[in-house]
Amino acid sequence: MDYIFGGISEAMRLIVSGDGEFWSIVWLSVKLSSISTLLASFLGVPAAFFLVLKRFRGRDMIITISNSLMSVPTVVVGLFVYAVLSRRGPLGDLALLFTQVAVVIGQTLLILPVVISLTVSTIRALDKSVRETASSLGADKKQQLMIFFSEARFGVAACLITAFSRVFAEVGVSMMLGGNLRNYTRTITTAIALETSKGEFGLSIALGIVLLAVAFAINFTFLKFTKLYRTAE
Amino acid sequence: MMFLLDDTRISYGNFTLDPGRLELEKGRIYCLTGPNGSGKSTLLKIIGLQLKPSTGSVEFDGEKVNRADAEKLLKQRRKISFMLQDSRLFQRSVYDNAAYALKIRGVLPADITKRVNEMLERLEIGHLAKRSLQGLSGGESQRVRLARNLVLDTPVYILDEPSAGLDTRGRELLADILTSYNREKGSTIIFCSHHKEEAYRMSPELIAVIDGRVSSIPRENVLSGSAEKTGDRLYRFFNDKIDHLYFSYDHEQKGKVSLAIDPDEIILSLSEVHTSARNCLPGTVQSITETPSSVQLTVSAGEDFTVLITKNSLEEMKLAKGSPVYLLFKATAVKVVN
Repeated sequence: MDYIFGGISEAMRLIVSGDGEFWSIVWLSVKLSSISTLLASFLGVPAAFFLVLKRFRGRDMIITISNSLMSVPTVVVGLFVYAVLSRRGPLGDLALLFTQVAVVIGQTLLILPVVISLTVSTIRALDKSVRETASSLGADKKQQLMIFFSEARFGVAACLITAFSRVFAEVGVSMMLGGNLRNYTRTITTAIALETSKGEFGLSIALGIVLLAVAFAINFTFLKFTKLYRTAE
Repeated sequence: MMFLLDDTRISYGNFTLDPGRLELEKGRIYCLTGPNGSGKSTLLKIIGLQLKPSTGSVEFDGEKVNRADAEKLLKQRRKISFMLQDSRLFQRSVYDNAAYALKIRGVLPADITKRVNEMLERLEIGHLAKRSLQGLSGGESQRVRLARNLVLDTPVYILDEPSAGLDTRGRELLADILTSYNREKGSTIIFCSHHKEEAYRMSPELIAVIDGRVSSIPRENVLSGSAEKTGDRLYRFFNDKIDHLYFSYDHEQKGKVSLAIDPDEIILSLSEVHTSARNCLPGTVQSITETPSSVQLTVSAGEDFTVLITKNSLEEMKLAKGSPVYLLFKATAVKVVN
């Protein structure tokens, strides 16, 4: 038991003392997850609106595929991107493997289906009631779309928070594509895996505490958005 | 003529709404009646130019509605203040919700402020203007929906269940506003409502919608259930609320049936009496509404029945809300409507 208590006391020291390496790992995780979430939202949110607003052949198939991809294990995404970025792969010449860019690419692909599927299901439920109400009040097509986008904002924000929490807590993509390089691609989750295997519980527990704190913060924010979203119904 | 529906029809699965030819005059108040699922909301959407019928044509204010001309259709729609049954409130303040329909019509901001504030005050929710939707009660939310529609100055108001969720005071305010719009501005008002007493306060013309068809003769006391033959041309009607109600019918009738009873054919009695009337149902007075010509009572006897009596009868029988009464009517007074 001593090693656990020792680990906790070391963790507190690291958090309070502002240890350089500890906080740089935390910062890198936040940075990479934020960039990935941002990229996935730029691609996924418009795609979701397109899938809801446009009727075309194969639309349901795309949504079904996206729904299925939501539960793909992170190592499978890591493996796929690894194959493409490795020296022998089609994009091997770009020498991106084991860089932060590679991690961002993998993480973006990981959560793109999450963003698309959750946004589709959120705005689909809104679409009919918002546009019908706006039309009944005399809104033209453009005004109907404007109010629809405006009404979707809380629901979409809730989807993006969920996507961020998925990418922030993943380990497979970061490990396979980033290589867990110290001071470069070492994120909270890869550092925990490494430090634990080395028997360095202090840093692992400190990082675990931050991970949990962020997870709680994300869930509270999510709850707030969901409440706002439900109130309007 | 404000609306003319000519041979319009629309189908969803097994249900067909077939109002045939329906004429609605300018400056009148119409109330659509009929059981749930009979097609009232769909009919209101067709009249309100929100839904395209599968066949037939719609004329609005003397002009045929042409859906290919989007600009013209929008102009026509903006002459109608339409409130959907499940009209959604938007994620903004009470004031902004109430102002939405004016804003999209390009009304000047100063004018919007004045009109919205006046309407919120009139509906007694002025104190909620700055509030978000969070924490509003069902009745308050419905008043916000009403404010959003009633703040519009349009020649036509179409309201689907406007009194849903409103308390007595809210229903009174609604009836007062609609009546004043009709009297002072000559507005045409078309609505459907489950609160008969408030509806009748406005003395509307009744349009019965039953199983997707519009009855030429307004039907009252419409009941849906099953029929069972009990004698020569005599049937027993029953559903989950009523066990025994007898009606006579010349044709063979089995299974599902919809009936209507003219309120004038129902006699009220304070005690159970044996008369030639085959039906004698015990009930309780739910509401009493005085109209200029008579007194309208809603009596709960399993189903809610509308009964018309004179003011003298009301005074003589000393009826009040909650009074026990008996409803007497002949089996021949019950009409089969499907």
